[in-house]
Amino acid sequence: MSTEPDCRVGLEVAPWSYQVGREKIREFARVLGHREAWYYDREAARAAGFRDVVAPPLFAVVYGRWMEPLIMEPALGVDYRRMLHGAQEFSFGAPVCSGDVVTTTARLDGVSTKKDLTFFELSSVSLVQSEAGTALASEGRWTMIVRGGRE
Amino acid sequence: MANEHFHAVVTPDRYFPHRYAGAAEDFNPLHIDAEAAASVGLPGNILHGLSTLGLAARLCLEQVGGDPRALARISVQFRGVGVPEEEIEFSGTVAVSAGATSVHFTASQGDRTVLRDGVAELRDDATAADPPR
Repeated sequence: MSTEPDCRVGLEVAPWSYQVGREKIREFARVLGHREAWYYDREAARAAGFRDVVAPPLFAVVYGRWMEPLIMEPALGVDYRRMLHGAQEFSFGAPVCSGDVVTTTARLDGVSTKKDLTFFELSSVSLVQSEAGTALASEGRWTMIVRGGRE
Repeated sequence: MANEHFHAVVTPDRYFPHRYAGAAEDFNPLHIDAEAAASVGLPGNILHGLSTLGLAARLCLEQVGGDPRALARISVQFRGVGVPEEEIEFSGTVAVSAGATSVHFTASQGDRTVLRDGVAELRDDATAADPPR
């Protein structure tokens, strides 16, 4: 495993915002097989203490745009066609509901190589803005593996 | 502390990767185009690793009643490739202690592991996720 410093470490891209919509939540919840009414019905969600239909936790992938803005940043030099997802971690704070806006910042925390694989460690922080104010929605750590060695 | 066995089976249908691609807006051809997948030596189009993680997250939440606020943290290593139209077997242990529940899990299809070292930490008081503001 190479430990030499990589000038790309610390790279950030402009934060991006995601407007959370009811139908997108429903679509995402349906695909993953969530059955609870609070993902689909506004009144059921409100009865459970949510502002509006609530997103399943892994909706973090949707508002985080699976880190595409950072992965596709030319300065990162990732060949998307040779990329695999190595590992994923999410920590969750406040729930995200329809009508909220989620703003995500992303950063390259580390690059390492092992044989012909390059490991990119990315991190994300997503803040949710709603009528209730601003709160931390989730933090993500994404490990992407590119086959074929260093660019 | 009490430990219980965690076991669930989900069989993604033929078009599950396409629906997940649309829902997550992740249209990598390896997941939706069998020819593109075959061109890099895969048996066919493969599941998005994050879709398998999404299924795991749902199954873990269902251990504690399903409230999305209950999930404090989830982490996993992706291994191998998942494919549609084949059972995914999620298994592991549920550890219950005062104030928190944790699920340690793996996921496999036949003898292929697709998720390894899975850990989900669940809050007993789900509403604690939404701090007073």
